[in-house]
Amino acid sequence: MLKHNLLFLYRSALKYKGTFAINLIGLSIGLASALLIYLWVNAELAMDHLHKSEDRMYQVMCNFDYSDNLKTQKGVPDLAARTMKAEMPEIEYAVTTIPTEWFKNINISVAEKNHKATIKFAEKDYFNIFSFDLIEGTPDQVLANPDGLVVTESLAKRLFNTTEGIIGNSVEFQIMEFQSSQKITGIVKDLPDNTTENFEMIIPFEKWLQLSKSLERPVQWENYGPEAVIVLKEGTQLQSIEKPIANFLKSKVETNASLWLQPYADQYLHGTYENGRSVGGRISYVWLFSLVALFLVIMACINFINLSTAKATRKIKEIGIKKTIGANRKQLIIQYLSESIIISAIAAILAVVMVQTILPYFSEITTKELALSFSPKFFLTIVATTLLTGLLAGLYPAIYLSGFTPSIMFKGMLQRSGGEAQVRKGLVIFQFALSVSLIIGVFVMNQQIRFIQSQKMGYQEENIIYFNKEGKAATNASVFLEELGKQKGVLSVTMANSNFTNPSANSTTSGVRWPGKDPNTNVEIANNSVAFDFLKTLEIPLLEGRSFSKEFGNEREKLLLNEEAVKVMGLTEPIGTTINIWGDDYQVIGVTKDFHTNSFHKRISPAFIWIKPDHTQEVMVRIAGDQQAATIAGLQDFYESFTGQTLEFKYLDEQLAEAYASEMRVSTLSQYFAGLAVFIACLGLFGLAAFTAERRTKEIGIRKTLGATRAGIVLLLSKDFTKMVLLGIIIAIPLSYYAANTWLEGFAYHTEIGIPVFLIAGLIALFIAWVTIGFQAIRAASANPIESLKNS
Amino acid sequence: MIRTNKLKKVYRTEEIETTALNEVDLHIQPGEFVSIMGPSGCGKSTLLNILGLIDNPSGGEYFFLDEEVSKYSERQRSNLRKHNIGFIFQSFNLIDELSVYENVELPMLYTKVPAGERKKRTEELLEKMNMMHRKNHFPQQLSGGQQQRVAVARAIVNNPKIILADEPTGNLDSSNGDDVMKTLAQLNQEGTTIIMVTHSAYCSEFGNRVVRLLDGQIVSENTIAKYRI
Repeated sequence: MLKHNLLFLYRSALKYKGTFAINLIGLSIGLASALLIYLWVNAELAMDHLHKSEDRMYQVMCNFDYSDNLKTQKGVPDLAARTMKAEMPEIEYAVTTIPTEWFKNINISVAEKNHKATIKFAEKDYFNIFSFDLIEGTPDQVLANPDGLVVTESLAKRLFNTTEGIIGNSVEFQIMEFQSSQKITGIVKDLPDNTTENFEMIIPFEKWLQLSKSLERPVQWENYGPEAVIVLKEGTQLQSIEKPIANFLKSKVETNASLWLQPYADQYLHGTYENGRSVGGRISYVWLFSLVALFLVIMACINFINLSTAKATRKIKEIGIKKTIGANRKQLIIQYLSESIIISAIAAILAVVMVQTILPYFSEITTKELALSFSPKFFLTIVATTLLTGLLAGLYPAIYLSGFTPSIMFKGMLQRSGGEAQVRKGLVIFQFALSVSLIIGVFVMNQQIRFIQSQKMGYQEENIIYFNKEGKAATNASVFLEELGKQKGVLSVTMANSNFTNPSANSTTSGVRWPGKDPNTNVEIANNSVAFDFLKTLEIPLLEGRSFSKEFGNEREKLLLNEEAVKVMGLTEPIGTTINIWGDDYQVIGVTKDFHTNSFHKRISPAFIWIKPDHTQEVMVRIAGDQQAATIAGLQDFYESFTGQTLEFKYLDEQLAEAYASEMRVSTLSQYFAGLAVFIACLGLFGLAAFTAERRTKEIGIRKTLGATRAGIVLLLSKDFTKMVLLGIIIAIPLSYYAANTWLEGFAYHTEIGIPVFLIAGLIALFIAWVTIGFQAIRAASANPIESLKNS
Repeated sequence: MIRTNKLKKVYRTEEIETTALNEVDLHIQPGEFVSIMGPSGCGKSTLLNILGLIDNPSGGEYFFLDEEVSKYSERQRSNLRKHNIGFIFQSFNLIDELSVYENVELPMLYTKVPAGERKKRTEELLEKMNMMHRKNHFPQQLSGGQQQRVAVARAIVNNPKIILADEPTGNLDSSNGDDVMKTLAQLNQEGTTIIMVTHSAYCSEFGNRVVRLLDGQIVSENTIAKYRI
């Protein structure tokens, strides 16, 4: 029987090539999209699920209770982890680390040869918590010595061309003015793709404490920034430790901060926080694209369903004969289901080929190394998806077709109940509602991205380059800056603790007092440590007062506020006001206009600016807009001669755009998938329009004989489809409005969704549908009416 | 073998009610060759469909092999049909997507005949019908006479007790029509009961009884003493 069914399918496919092609192309594209999304979702879900104690592993999160909101961050005091471990017997391991974002591309040298590397500082149990494979050294010992150093396999090869026999070799590093020589104590295999950790070398945390001391960075309970991860002892209930963790900071110092634990592997997908708890994050994109995958497959299945039921007339004879000679309903259902499952299997094979071909491009868009693994799990997934798709596409047609009585063959035509036609219309409306929703979604995303890109940051981000200060540039910063400012094409230079592109490098504090401050309110204020010419270089407008100037000495006791800070503090005459920060008094000399120190996801926060060149890491240079290549070349030469290092710089405007990379990625992906959805919907519409034209051949012939024009016939054939597409659009509008609005609320500053978005999306869908139907309608309307009548 | 008692079939549309069969009483013994005749629209094909368990009557009783089957479900009728009845149609009704061989083999797939046996029976019948040389051809590649020979082979492949033929020669020329009628008469000689709807008086003479229908009622029944072979 199976052989018969296969043979029958093969011959039917040859006979009705058009229908078969529509079904196969639609299902292949649907399945290929689903497979791509599956690979991406799988990679997202696997992130950080690789550590052997992951079920007991937690990120220590910190909530700050400000008067108007509860802010959550990963930053904790430097000594949090080790003190918690000492005080709480439930903790097996605890480490504080310094995030790699702080020290990317730091200058290191081996035998006086310079290299760049991304550095992490971590406490000694790091490798007991994070299950990365050590090629040399043991987890207990590699970070035990403050002068030790763990390097990744590829860094080792870059530095020494080998991983053999390099234990004990020296590597020097420099951060700001701090220099140290470390001896390699361990080599770790390159990090796998499914980890959010991204270091090239790890230096023991004790060295970080030494560095902080030497740079006069206070290591105290009120200074947050490092991150902590702990592992609870086996059998420990999270609830039993939640309270002591929450009260931990308050037991050390008077503070508005409290700690809590988030499962370590959760934070990648659940990294958005509201009211002190995780409320989602990237997981929403995982859901969004999983839904899109499901919808694309459903849309392709709908084509199958619609074409099978619409073209049932073709099957009447076969069903009638088979039933007459003894086939029962079950046997016919099995036949039609096996047909749909086989088509779905062929589509799955084509989908795998398509995915294999486009995977490199898809990986590029998603910035993930995705690959088809052909593992048993993968095969099972493919087989299950094929079966489900086949069932979804084939079940309704199988039940519908097998329900015909054998006598139908003798009546020669279907007595259509109208029910199946309604189902078909409903399904087409559903397809277009989805397609239009996706088009609207893409429009809103693009509109938001354009909105962000067109917004003023409050400073002029064009023509600014920035880089880390290294070597002599750090140890002899003032001379370096002065010389740098003299280079050709350089308009202005400054230094700052943050380049505005990296939120984790931003520093905030609640340790600010001002006249009239309510002692019970806590306000988080951004702390911008800068060098002279900060406002000038970034072109931040001054509202009143003056900026810092060398003419007034070192200006170490002076302060600038932004508008928002003046507003929050309620200062009527800010100039001259004395502000106390961490116990020291500062005098306000000027007020700047508001400027963003973050991406547009966050609101502008109150900020102060003070002169603290020792606390700055970034050099920012405004260069002339013309002849930039020559200016950059000149700067590279100067930098190399001054520091002995190569200059590795970035353009500020380009890096700011990077902050929206994830939105851009989602937008790009959505464009592709929305395009595919529209394509699949139109494939179905094309098939149905062909069927309608075929079914109404006689009617068209009669109408034309009676004088109907070609345009009139085209209109007649397009009317019903237009109604369906319009209904789809009407359904899509409120749904997509709600979804888009929810997405936009994630941005502190966002665009408004206007009527044009819906109008344009609707018109696009309508236009594409008309082109699809029109082709068939014009063909039918152009046929010779005599021929049509003769043939029918 | 077949007995109907006040058999009735009414077709209803929204506004019109048409009585296709009106209290038909018919009795057919095993081994008979009955021709049903009458003008177009008199209910011949409706009667044949009900006798062939393709359609259900609207009223009356129908005894098939001594079982009252008028209220049978589609599944029950299908079971009876596939083991006991073979069908031959005016328009042959071969499945276009299947070859000659596959068309003949098809009924045995539904009665779960083992593959070896299927092959043997199909080939035997194709030989008998002189169609073996065309076994891999498709229906549209055959003449009408050849198609009907294949249809006859398909109708008898499961050794049915009864063959229902609906104008089997209607689409054939006289020579091919004659061949088909001779085959049917031969089968009847071998013990198969045959009920045939026909317009042709000539064809009806191959049977041993003629039942005439008019407006859904039997108006006469004549036995043919010496029928044509």
